[in-house]
Amino acid sequence: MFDELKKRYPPDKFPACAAALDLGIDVTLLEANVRLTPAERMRSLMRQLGLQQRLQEANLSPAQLEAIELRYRQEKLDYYGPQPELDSDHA
Amino acid sequence: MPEQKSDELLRVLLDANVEFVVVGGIAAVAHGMDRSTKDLDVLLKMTAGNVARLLAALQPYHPKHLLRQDLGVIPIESSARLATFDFILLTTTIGRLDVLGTVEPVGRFADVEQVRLELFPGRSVAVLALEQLVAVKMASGRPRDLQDAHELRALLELSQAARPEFGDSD
Repeated sequence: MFDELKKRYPPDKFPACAAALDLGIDVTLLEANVRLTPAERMRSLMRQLGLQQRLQEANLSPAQLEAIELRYRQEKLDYYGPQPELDSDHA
Repeated sequence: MPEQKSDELLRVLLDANVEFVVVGGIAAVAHGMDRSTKDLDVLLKMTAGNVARLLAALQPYHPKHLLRQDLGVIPIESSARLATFDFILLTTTIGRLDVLGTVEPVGRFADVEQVRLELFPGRSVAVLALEQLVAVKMASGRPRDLQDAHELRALLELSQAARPEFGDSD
């Protein structure tokens, strides 16, 4: 399968695709997405996201959901750094 | 934890004529990347008027600072101060929104190359150009973003190959 894909995206013609394949990226999925319209991609994302959230809510405890939320906020802090100081009127 | 309705948030911003460019994960998906992302990141034109439009549009959805929700709903009167921030992390009843004043290394709203993509039938949205999205992912340096950059480069190559001028004539 991998060899077939390497033939389909030869490095001389598709260097970025060949490099992506080497990293384990499924280039055939990208190729399928290119054929979709942006609106179709957006609809697909929202469907996936809705399903993911419903599955989480149905299968995880409140404590686990809270842990996910806290990790999300921590990742934001790590990425953006501290937020400017805000006082009670947000100013 | 609110349900993330990024599509609805984008429609709210469009309806209110907020000036913004979609960046980050949703921009990558709009260009064709295979990714499930909860993040909606927008590069905003950080003027007091534009931030006021944003906050006014979000008032029905009770916008709060993600990391200071104890402060309550952000009033529109905060716009002038918030327009001086580099970023504003919001949470609303229809999901979260990361509002950025600058995106490294491409810069501020006026500096970036944007393309208009029809994310909703009949409605186009300004999205960061694919080439600049690659640059942003590369600049981040996080392993996950570097992997994304490779995926976006492959996507760029496939998109170019799909255009008529790169067609299968050979």
